[in-house]
Amino acid sequence: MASSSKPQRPLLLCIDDDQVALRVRKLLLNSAGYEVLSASSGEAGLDMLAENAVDLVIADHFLDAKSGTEIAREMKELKPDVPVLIFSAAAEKLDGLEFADGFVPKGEAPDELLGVVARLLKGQPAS
Amino acid sequence: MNKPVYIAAYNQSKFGKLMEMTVPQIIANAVTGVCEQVKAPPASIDVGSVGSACNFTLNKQGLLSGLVATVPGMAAKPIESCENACASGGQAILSVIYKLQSGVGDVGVAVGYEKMRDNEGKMDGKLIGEVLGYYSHPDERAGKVFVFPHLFAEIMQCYMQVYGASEGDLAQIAVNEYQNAKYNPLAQMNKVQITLDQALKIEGINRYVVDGLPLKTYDCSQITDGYAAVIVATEEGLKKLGVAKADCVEIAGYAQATDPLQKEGRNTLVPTGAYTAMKKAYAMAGAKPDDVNVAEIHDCFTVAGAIGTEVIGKAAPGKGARYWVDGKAAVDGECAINSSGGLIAKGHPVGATGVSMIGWSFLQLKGKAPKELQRKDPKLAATFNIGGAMCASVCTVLRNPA
Repeated sequence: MASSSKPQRPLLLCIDDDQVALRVRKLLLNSAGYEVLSASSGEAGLDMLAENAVDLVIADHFLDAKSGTEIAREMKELKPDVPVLIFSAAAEKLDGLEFADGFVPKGEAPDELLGVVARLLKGQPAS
Repeated sequence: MNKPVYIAAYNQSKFGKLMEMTVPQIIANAVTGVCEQVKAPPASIDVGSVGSACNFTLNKQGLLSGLVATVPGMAAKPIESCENACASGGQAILSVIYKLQSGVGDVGVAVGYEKMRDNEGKMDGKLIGEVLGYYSHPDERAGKVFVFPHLFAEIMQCYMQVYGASEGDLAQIAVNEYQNAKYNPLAQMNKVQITLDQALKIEGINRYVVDGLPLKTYDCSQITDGYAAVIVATEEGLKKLGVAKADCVEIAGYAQATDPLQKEGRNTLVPTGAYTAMKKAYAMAGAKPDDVNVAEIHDCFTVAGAIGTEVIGKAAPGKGARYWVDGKAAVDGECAINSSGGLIAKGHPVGATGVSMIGWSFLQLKGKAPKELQRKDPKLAATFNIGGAMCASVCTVLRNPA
């Protein structure tokens, strides 16, 4: 259930239409000390972002209705200060990536993802 | 010297029908589900094994280890697929233990699954009869339509003739197990109850499976979809996972032994491999049958339940069925045997069965079984998982850490 109260730990929003990837990413981020909200579509993610004090968004690029970069653009219009990290299995550079604050290729080592997340939360560049 | 190894978590699907769940989805759900029990990502797992028996013949899918490696965080790790017929799940757990003992890693996941029904939950009995028959010696298949029920019908007849047990004595095992399954929400037959009269009367679905032999429908286990998984860890692994030893169960003894595939020419009522494996597991644990008051045994048919009761040392050869008739196998009896409902009522998703036996015993020892089935004073647990016509055995002895 959505809540506007701010948790003690950083709150991350993960968006992916792959339920297994979403569950695994939640486990990884929880174990690293983050609170995690999960959304299986871009629209649901936008709603959660609007309703919660999210510190960082991690979105898969290949979603059913909208791409992760489209979601990043809309999220920046909604909450410009919340960093958005895009995930993708695509090897080539993605269109619209300028709206995101970072990019991580799918299949990355967990430490790499956690490193990028930690840097973005500190306001540092992703890489 | 073996390192102590522990079960840190257990997770299973409801046994019965997985409907449209694909094999990759089943494996992924099994791995992520058990990881969620310890709130650790798959990346924290070092090694894995997966057991299944009918993946080629019913699912047209091989190389299951690659599906485990497909789960994010599981790639590029030592993972293997195990097949030992109905003992594939137990073998998958042993495979993980062996990897941990060899120093390959500290945390492992063992998965077992079977998808025996189609996407609508229906089964093709003739096909299943045929493919399960592949787990018998080719010389013993001729003239048998349902090879395994036929082989066990012969074993049942032999048990009754040699020991003087009755069809009613053996049917009592099924009756007790259906009663247990009623309280196990994950059991396939938790909405079905049978009386001893029903189990014995030839009426409705209950019929003699092979003309001239005593095995009836209610003597048989179920055709089941399901998956189960455990996380096994060394003490170092538990530290990495952040799991307290007190929340775990030690796999204090474990052993495997396989007898020749052919049934003829050996004593399937006292299977040498099964007894050898169980004896070794007890010895490794420094325990004896009297210490055990929780057990899960491989009752693919009621006669196997009787023999299993004997293999774990709770009854002398020929007295296994009587143990159940006398109420000693009840939840509050001398030893709570198959409080899960067993293969007959919990269900028998072949590759998952061995994992679920150890998993259920884990729940019992941690006091996490449903309250109606929870043994009040669980001490040690024994498990006996066997594949084929009393052929390949995996036995364990489990206990709470000191």
